[in-house]
Amino acid sequence: MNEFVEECRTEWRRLGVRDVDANEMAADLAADIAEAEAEGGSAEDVLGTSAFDPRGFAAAWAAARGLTGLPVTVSGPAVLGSAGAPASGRRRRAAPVAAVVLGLVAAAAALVVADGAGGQSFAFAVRRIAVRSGSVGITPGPGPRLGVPGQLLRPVMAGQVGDGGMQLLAFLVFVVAMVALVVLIAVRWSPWTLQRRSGRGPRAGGPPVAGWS
Amino acid sequence: MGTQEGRRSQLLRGVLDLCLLSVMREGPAYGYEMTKRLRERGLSMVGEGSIYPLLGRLERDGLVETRRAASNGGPPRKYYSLSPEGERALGAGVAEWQVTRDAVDGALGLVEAEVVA
Repeated sequence: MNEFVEECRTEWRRLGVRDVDANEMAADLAADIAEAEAEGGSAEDVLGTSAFDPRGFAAAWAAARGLTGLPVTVSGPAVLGSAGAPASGRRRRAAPVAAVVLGLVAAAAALVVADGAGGQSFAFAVRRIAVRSGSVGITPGPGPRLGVPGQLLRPVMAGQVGDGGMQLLAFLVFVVAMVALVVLIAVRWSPWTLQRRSGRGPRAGGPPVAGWS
Repeated sequence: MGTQEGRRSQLLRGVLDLCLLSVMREGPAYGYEMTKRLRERGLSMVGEGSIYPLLGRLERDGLVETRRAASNGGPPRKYYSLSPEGERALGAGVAEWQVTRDAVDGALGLVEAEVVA
């Protein structure tokens, strides 16, 4: 078999491409190169500049077909009407979805807590969380104070969750959701993270590209 | 690679998928057959990259259908043909290309007139 095809096979093996897929690509490639040579041409007529980079070509082809775990490169033309979204796109959407879910959870918990606090209005501009003997509360600056009365804490501390236990649970859920939301925002959208992400090349982590992918 | 060849590559990069879909519209074709059809239209792949990764993407995205069949006197080949979704994508892409081409022609036409003058 053609030396170029053998190089491709080696690369596909290294990338973990299944034999059935590697055999199919190798057979097509060998047949096309053989036809070009029979017509007086060369592998370059079939492969263009990729003829000089078998490993890169093999990796790009396998990635484009979704046969490896490597991300599909973005250097090629945008395929119109593309039906499939790459995994990295799904990951990018996961963070905003998680942020919205956390926000909704926090809002729902806040409503439950506010209801249990006698209808006091809830301020979102939380400045500090105060923990005092007998009560736990969020102090939103100079505005009205939202708190969990000590009466609610005592049954829980004693292992008896009564009617007021719901408010305490909601308060804890609110705190956890807010902390998770702040951490998520800091990790995903902080200036440092955005700067680091923009510094990456489009092919980072991807296979070497030789050809139109 | 010279500046002119580099520019040509960049220009082709954005529309080669449309060119491939277009030559498939003439009838199912295997990889090298499509390369030859493109060459007949002045798009030689020598000096450019291979079309195989792009064909892989088109297949993965459902824009082309494939089947394995015997070629003329040769071994069985993988034939690519347009899928209905590929037909729609080609139509939309060609319309988009024409709008872009006209706009670029309008801009470059002025430059050419100045150079000639």
